[in-house]
Amino acid sequence: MPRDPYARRWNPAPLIIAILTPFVVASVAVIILVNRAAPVPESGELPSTEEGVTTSVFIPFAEWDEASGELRVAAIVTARVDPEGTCSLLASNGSDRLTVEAEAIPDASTMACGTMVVSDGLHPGLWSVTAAYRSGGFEAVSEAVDVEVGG
Amino acid sequence: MMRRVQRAMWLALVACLAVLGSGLVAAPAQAAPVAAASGASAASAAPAGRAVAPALSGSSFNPGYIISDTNFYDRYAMTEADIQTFLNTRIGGGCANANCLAVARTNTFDRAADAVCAPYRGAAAETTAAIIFKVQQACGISARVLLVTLQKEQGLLTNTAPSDAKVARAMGYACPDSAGGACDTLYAGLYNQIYWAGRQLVRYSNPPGTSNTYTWYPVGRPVAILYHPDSARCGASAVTIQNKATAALYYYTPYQPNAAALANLRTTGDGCSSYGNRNFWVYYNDYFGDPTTPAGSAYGVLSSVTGTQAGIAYSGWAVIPDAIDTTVHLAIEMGGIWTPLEADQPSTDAQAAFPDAGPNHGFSGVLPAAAGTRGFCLWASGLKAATVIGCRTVVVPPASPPVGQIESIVPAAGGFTISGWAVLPATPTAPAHLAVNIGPRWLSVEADQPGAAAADVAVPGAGTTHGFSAFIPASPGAQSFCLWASGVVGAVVLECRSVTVASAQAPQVVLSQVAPTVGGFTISGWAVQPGALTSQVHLAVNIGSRWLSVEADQPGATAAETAFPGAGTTHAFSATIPASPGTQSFCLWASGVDRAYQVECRSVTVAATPPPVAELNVQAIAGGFTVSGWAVLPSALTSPVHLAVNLGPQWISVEADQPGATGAEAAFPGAGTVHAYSATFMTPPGNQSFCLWASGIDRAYQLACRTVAVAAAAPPTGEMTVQPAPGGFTISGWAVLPSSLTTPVHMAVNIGPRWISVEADQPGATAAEAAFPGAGTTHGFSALIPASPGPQSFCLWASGVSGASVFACSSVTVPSA
Repeated sequence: MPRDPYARRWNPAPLIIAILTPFVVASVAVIILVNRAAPVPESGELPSTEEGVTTSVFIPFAEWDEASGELRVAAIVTARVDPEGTCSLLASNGSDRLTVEAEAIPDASTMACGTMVVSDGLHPGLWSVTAAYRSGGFEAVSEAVDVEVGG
Repeated sequence: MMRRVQRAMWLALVACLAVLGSGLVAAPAQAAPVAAASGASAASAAPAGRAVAPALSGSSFNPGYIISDTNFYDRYAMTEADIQTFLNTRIGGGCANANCLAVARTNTFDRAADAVCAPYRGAAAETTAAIIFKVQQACGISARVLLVTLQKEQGLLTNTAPSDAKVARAMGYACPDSAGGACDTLYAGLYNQIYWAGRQLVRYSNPPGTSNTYTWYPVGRPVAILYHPDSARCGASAVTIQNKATAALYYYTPYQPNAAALANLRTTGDGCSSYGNRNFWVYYNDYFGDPTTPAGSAYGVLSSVTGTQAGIAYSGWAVIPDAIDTTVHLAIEMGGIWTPLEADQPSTDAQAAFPDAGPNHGFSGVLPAAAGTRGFCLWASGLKAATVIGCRTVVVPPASPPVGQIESIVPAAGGFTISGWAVLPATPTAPAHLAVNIGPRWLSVEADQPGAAAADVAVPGAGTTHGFSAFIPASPGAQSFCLWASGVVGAVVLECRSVTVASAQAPQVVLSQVAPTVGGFTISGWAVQPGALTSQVHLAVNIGSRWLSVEADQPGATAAETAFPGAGTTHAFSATIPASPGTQSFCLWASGVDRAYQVECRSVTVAATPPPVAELNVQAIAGGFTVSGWAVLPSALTSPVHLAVNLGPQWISVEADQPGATGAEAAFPGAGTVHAYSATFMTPPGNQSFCLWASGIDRAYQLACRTVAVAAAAPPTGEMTVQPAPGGFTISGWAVLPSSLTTPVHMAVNIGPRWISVEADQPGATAAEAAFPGAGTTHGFSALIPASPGPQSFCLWASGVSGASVFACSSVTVPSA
């Protein structure tokens, strides 16, 4: 059986996601509209290879959720798909250092750390967060991102 | 009911629909302006210019809204035939190896259903089109998205001889550069790649039954999106992703194009450019049009096809998912003959597949076809183009010829009556169409009367409503005739017989009075048909080249009863025959049993009638003109006069029956004053010529012609404001027609292919009264326009005196719910 990466027991903290309501209704039976008056020249094969590809760990968002009292940090590992790997989050404020680990998910072209959550040990102030990834002998760390944790 | 037309007629029909569609919006180029990427959440009214879509430009790329959810998650985007045709078109000159997608064959295997996809039923040597179609259906991901991904990842659509390595990572799924482009073996190969990539693109939306895993590209709030895998060197910028489909693209390829990549859409950018999502957008635009506008394709199922003696029996259903209430126009093409039909019959299958669809999206019928192996294709017309729903080959069995019998022939004066039964075994419960051929004449007869027990015996199950009985008019003497019956592929002779017809008696007609009147003359008398005493006789007056019908069916004809006891007295006739002044000759004719008989010819002197007289006043107004005055008929002073204004190709009736025409009474004492008329005509600006006509006693008279200079009418004027709202946006404001201040203005919002009516008839529009004193305040409008999340452009049209015009165009970003 093929491996289903989505069945892993990784347990990210829940987020409230917006539910879109795609809604398209066209009620006029016979109106034919041409949206593009000028035909666009059709492509052959477009260039698609990026230059200087380097794997890096990146944080799409890092935020303090006042309602839940949690620090939420999402991270991805670019241009890399491993059979398995481990993500870790380090949040530091002065001498206070909090860490969380999560199993990375192999995706189409990345290793996804998902949204990692720190819920204990936080206190108000400016926290610096970094995400790291390791798999076998490979390791990488993201740039630091600052997050203001409220009271 | 179907009818058969040539392909040219079908294509003309499609063309007419296209013209009609553009005609409805008055200005095709303005009908659906391409939605420009805009971050504005609300916009004020702006005058609409002529919108001409430019060639694709990077400035139109919106990183937060690359493709609509409707287009992305469209499991009905393309049929398998459409996909194969598309692959063939992309390859063009032909394939050079067996990996080429247009000819590749792949063994697939079963995959069980899960929370994301329905089961996939594997098969040996499947075409690429079949794999893409089945993944589209199973997972609910558009075939267009899959095709574009094949091209943007490996260029497979245009590669005539792709290598094994390229096919192995066809969708770029789990084949990272860190592994030298090699794929995880579990996901390698064309089938695995299409299935897993398609499934994953849907999985990113966290569908019901899956964990809420994919949360780092949320919809509706800003997140950082990289320009390039090397984050330290190339950086990122904040993007507010506006829908699930765009988020899915970023999960799959987490980079947005930088300015250099967008400035050079079809070439390379710079060292920090990435191309995945840029190329997706460019390819989609090139192949299928703007990925953010509805595709409008028709989808259908040809669920049953059977060869029968009557032809090809078929059934199925069809819908346009982007316009679910629309009845789909279909056409069957067989041997170059196109037969149009409508998907407007009840279908539970259509409703099961599309719960929002109404109950009437089914179709069924029988296509007449000769015996043998017959192939046909069923086409469906979408909002923009027609697609093939399916093609079938079916064996049509030979049709049994019609059977029937003449059971009796009863001669009568002027003809004979035949009766019997007939059945078409190919359609045993339908009435058979018959025809009697006697000399050069053909007379239709339907075999649809009850009581034909012999029919059910001859063709068991046919029932007994296959009888016929008809009187066949014929000349006296021996007559031979044949009874024909229409079969599936032509008519056949059922039986030929002879009969001797007795002489028919002519109708007895008495023209008792002819009296001249103003503008004509009257006739009266009575008529009886000997041998059919209680029947009414049909008469006709022939005067010059005219024929006027008269029925001898009025009461009081005591002379008829006296002459023909038992006939009754309802045989009188009386009629007024319009005629020109002078001596007029006419002849009275009567229809007998076998033919028409000339009864009598007479002459009568008709007095001259004076023509109508009218007074005509003309006044130009903004956007038209008014006519007024009075009209009198000197020979019928108190009768109202029927007028007509002839304006270009139009004839507009006007009645001169209004009070206050003191001029009429002064000119014709005794006429009274109820002879006034008044009418207003709205026209384009410029010189308008018209003529006033009046109906006289005997004919119509042209009374006067005038030319009036019409000034242009001001278009509807007002204000509009736009606000985003959950599920769409609201528009409000006011509108006034300057040339008709108190008339409410009819308006319509045009957004994409939709038109939504709006009436400017609500109270409280004080700004309208302020701008146009006397207009009043009931000119407000307010409406919620449903729309998908993301940037939306629309135009508000208003109906003016000389047609509809754009009132305002605007763009607005609809928030996610």
